[in-house]
Amino acid sequence: MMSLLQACFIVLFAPFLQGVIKRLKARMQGRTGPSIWQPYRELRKYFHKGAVVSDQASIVTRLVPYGQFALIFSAALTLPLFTVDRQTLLASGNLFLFIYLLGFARLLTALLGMDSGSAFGGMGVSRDLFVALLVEPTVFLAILSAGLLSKGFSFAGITLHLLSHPGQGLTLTTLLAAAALLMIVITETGRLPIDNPDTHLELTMIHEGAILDLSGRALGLMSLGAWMKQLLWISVFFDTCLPYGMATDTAPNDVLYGVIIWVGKVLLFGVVLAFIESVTAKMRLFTVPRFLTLALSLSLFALLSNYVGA
Amino acid sequence: MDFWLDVTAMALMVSTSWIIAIRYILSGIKWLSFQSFMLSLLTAVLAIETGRTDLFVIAAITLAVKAIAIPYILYRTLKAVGIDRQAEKSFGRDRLIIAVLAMWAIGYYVTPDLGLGSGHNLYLSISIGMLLSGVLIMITHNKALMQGVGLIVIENSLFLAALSTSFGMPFLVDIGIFLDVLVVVVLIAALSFRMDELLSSMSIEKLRRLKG
Amino acid sequence: MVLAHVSTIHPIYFLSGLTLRNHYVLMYISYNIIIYNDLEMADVQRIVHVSINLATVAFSVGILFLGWSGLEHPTLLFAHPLFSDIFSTSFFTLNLATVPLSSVFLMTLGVLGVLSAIYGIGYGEVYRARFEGAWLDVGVFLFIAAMAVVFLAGNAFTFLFGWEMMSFVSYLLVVYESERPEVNMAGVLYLAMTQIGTVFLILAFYLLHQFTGSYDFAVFVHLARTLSPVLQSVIFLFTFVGFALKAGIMPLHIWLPRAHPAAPSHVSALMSGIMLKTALYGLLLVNLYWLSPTVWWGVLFIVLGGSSAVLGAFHATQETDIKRILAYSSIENMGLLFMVVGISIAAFALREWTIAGVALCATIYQAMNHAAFKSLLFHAAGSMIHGTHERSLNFLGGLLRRMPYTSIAMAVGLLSVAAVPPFNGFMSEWLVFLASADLARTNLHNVVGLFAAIALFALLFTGALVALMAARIFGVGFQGEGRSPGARAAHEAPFAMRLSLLMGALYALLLGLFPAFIVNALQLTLPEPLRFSPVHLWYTGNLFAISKLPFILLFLLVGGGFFVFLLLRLFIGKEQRHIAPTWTCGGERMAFMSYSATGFSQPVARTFRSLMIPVARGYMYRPAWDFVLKTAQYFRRIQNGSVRSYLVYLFVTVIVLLIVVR
Repeated sequence: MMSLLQACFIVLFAPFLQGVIKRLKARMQGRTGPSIWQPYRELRKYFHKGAVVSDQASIVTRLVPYGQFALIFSAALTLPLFTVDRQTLLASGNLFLFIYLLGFARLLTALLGMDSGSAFGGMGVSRDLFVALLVEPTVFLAILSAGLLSKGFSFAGITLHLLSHPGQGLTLTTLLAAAALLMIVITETGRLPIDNPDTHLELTMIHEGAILDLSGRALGLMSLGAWMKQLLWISVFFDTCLPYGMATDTAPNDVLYGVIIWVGKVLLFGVVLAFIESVTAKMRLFTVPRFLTLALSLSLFALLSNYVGA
Repeated sequence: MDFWLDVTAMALMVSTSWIIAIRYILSGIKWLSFQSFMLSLLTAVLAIETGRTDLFVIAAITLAVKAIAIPYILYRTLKAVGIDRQAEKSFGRDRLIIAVLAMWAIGYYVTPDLGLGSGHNLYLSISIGMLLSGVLIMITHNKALMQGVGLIVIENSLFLAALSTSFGMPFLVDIGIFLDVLVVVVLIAALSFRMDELLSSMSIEKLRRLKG
Repeated sequence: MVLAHVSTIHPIYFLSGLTLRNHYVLMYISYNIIIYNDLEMADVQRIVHVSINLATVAFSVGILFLGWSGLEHPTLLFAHPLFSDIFSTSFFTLNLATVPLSSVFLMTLGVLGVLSAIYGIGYGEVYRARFEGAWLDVGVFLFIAAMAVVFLAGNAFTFLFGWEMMSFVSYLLVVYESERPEVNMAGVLYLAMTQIGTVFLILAFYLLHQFTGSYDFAVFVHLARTLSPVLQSVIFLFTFVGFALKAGIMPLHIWLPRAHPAAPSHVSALMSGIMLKTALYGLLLVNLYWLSPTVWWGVLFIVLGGSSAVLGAFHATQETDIKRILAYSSIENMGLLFMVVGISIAAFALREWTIAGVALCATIYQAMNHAAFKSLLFHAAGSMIHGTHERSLNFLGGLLRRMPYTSIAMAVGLLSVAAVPPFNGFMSEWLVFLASADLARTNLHNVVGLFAAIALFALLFTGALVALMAARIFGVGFQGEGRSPGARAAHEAPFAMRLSLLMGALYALLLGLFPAFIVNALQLTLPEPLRFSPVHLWYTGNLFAISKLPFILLFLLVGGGFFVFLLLRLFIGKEQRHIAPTWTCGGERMAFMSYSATGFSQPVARTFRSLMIPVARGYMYRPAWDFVLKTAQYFRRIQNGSVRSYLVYLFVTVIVLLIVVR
């Protein structure tokens, strides 16, 4: 039950985080920026408007936005946010499940992008999957190496282990894994050194390219899905590296305390993201692998640190 | 009787050694004829000693085929391609004689353990030495006719081996072998003649050119 | 009566070395039938064709039930010495028996046989103009029978007999379209490679016989573990090389991407789906059921399997010929399987019974799944080629609207191969993940654990590559607009093929929906110490057990999506939809505007250029070929054409022998 609550919380909170980051970024760059409620307004607009659909589009265009949303929601069910609940809905070995659910969502998005037969869709999809090639193993290795000491490979298990042994959050392994995860979170949320979330310049875009031909409800659902994914990855980072302050039961007081701390942590992370976006320039597509290879080697070192030494 | 056996064995050794070292092919054929004659003599002596009639027959056939017919065929071939052909050898006489002596030594050395007959069989040693010398003839001599001569020496040695261990092979086998040898020699003679016509040489080294 | 006559005479001519296209016998028989029964030639052909395929279906169903009954009750079906009046050895004994492990493979074979034979009814129409369609059907029948013999074999002779028969028949099937020159090359290469593999197998069986004194598998089970470790390692190496050759593991794979696309599609489906699994079956049998493994065997499996998984998946993203893509995907999947076998072997050697059991279970489950979805994919690819006469993805497109059944089958197959959650590929890869992660966790500060972690890395990297491959096939081939006249005029496959495609898709889905049932059934096949209670698998304290997980996921996916749809519909109302041409920056739309298959994977090719170095060709086959040529030169020097030198060899040999003997 708790995990259902958490997932719904993610749906509701995700646009807010996006608004906050946009606003903060604008402020740092000396602009006023849109209101932090702007994403909610955008969603309302998308959901009310009619849609223009390509004549090449097939049933894929009609189904995928809903399917993609459902998949990201299911992925949210596997994560502990502000409370660790052993009874989470999809808990058993959920690290693998989480990554593959998001992978499925990515695959569906890819099919959506190819559906209108537009060159931009193909370009965005091709790049998206290309970046994913290095992201998926990296994020997996990073979480795995942080979680090797805990029993079982679920986020709940890793979080509980860290909460009961706070000292292990400061080992070399965890630090390396945290660095790698941070880089992956930046990549996966489509943030600046990799992808520019604000651009519509076709030569540079990755995620925007895939959903260029969408409008109306489909676009609204895809945008909401992207924001939810952003929040999910941030939560993954906290679950694996900084779960402190999370409730370990479902007593209302503890949960409330957990919610406040979690929101604080997420907003702080938003500040960091906005700062990074303000001070870095976008990379060329073919320099992205270097960035990701760095992340990959960090996570490999994190893994190695479990096996060398005493 | 043993005296005659010894004499013929000695004659076999001498003739074999001499065939390797000849200068003209004609003398090789003559010595071959002599060797075969000695072999038939040896068979005849054995036949007298044991009283077996089939050995008499074999001695007669040996005399007819190996001592007369085969040398005659070879002689005719030689005449046909021109008389006084020098035998081309790969090595000098001295080395060949030493090599043959080594062959006799090897023959003597390996015999006791072949498990044929009891004790040391001198004739078996000689036959093995002859066998090896026969191969040596074929190896060291260039001319195609001498290959035939070498082959007959080998055949003689095998005959001797059979004779010395079990008084010859069964009669029918012996007859068959004689026939084979005759055919082989006829073939060699015919081929040598053709070779000489085509290549104006009987040197088998020319056959290398057939290689692909 | 007539049909019985035809089908009895075919195999004889088939085996007697006549080529497939030698059809005079069939023509003669058909001619007689026409004379006597007043039938049209075409009708006769169709009747022969359909009835042979139906016989294959019946035979496959029989195999399926044989496997089903063998799963719980291992039975000896047949044991009879052959040629006992000529040879006094016990080698030539035909011995057919089922054991639980082979039963699983037999059942898979049965299902695939049914699917391929039904598919063949429709697919054979393509070849009917050549009037040799019936030979193809007979070949498929014999192929299935040969594989059944391999799985049923109870001793070395039967196994090798089935193995060789399988290789030979599949060679004939590969060269079926021999008017294409590349097909003949592929066939010869395939035959040569598979024969090399067989040599190693024979050596391994010889060693086993030499030291156990028997050819019976039942004896090997008891005695092989008592052999010395060095000997066991030698046997392992021989079987590894022999079976890896058949399985297409990376340095030994060169025949596979050529042979599989060359064969007719339902033969490719059988080859990829189940023939490669015969190698896996052999390896499991030898290494986990007979010998007692050591850790480095497992490491070898993990390293070679992992690299071949990654490289195979990478090549699958680069090819444009649809069947070559699928062939490389098979290499990738066999690599994954080898990797899991490696995990199982390493865990076995470390006495981690549960992990070994889970890994072995994952192997068999993954093998079943691969058989299901790869045959489905090859069938769908055959249907694509049949409908468009195009093999290259760059000339396809827009098939989703023109070939709906093929598209559904392809989509199910691709989602399964990409291992996304409710589909069957995911369930088995999850088991792989569990076993490897557990091995990595229990062996901290031990190199073996590191290898397990590397295996996980390979699993995930392969997964991402395969996702790219799947999106590429479906996005380029089925969506957008057709890029060639053939693709624009595509037509759906005939009924039999559609039926087979839908059945195959259903089979793949069912395998994914009942993982707990399958895992429990697979328990029977594991060796005694490896059996585990499924409680170990699914961590305790869950609200839902694994058996319900696929349904939960399916509910979340379909129900969740539908819920959102309803929510929007109720609160906001029906969406207004306008159809408009795709935006092309104002220009005229052309089919070639959308991303081609080559362009789609170009970033990958550019970044992972180093993976494209032909390691196997450049560092293994070319040097080996050069070595053979060079040695041949040396032998030429010996073989100089001079009679007297030959005599010298003889002479020296004789003298040396004489002296040595003394």
